[in-house]
Amino acid sequence: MHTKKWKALATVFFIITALSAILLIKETLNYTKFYEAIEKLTLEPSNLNISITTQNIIITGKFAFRNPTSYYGLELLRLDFQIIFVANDAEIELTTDTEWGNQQPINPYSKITFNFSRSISTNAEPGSLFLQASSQGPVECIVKSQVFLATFFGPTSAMELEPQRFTYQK
Amino acid sequence: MVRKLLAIVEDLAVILGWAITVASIMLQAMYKPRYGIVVASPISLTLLDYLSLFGASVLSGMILVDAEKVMLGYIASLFTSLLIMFVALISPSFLGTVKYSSVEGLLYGGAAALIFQYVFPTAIFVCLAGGVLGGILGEKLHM
Repeated sequence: MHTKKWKALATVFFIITALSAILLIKETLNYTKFYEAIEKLTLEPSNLNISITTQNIIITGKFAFRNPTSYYGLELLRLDFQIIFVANDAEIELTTDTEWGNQQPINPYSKITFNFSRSISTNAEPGSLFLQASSQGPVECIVKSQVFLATFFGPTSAMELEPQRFTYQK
Repeated sequence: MVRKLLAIVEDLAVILGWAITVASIMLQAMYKPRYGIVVASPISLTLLDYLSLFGASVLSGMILVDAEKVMLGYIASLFTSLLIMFVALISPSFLGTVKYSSVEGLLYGGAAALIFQYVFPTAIFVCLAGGVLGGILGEKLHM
């Protein structure tokens, strides 16, 4: 026969075991969504505005890095992106930028937003080519991005995100 | 006869509980984001993780009491917890959340490497020390 002390201790132990099992299942179910989450991460430009002055092309706007899944456990280390425009069937890089994530968690169904502002001289080659293309009609622009994340297996190498397209019209 | 059978069931339940608790603590540590690739390092787990492992092992040892049961229980729970961790880490493969077969292959190797990195050697000794201390405490306190 067991003592009262043993029974009390066993009860505590099995309560801890039950809680551990619940946590284990909950965290493992979240972990199974990891691969879906890294496939569905997106970088969405919003309110991107391109204005042309005599000397510069000024691009301003916001970017939202979005986790559209219920997975938690990703942190943003770095986000690199390029704004490209298409002229004569060639893709020309207009500008690039890097956003440092400072290990910011990317929570489920949430986004990290950052402002973007860049001035490109019209005397430089990409600027002058963009000017030329925009004088001929609407210009197709593409935002290409790659992200570096902290994950359960360590930092990822560069992961390409789905390119986002928009059109600039004078 | 029935008592003996009941005692065996009790011991098996404690061993399973020990394994579940250890696997849960380790897996929760593994699922956290990391910033560097660390190979086989005791710093993979935090002090709180080690204290939790130690605490769970002391409790298990106190319930098992008998030195022989503690040692056998420790070995059985260690292998069971390794199995639980491995199954949990490869679960995206059989739940169909991994689309590419190349990733599936990496998943198995990655799971084994991750488990080795977290378990060996510090966590193994922490659990053993906790179990032994629990067994001694159980005898001293006449559990």
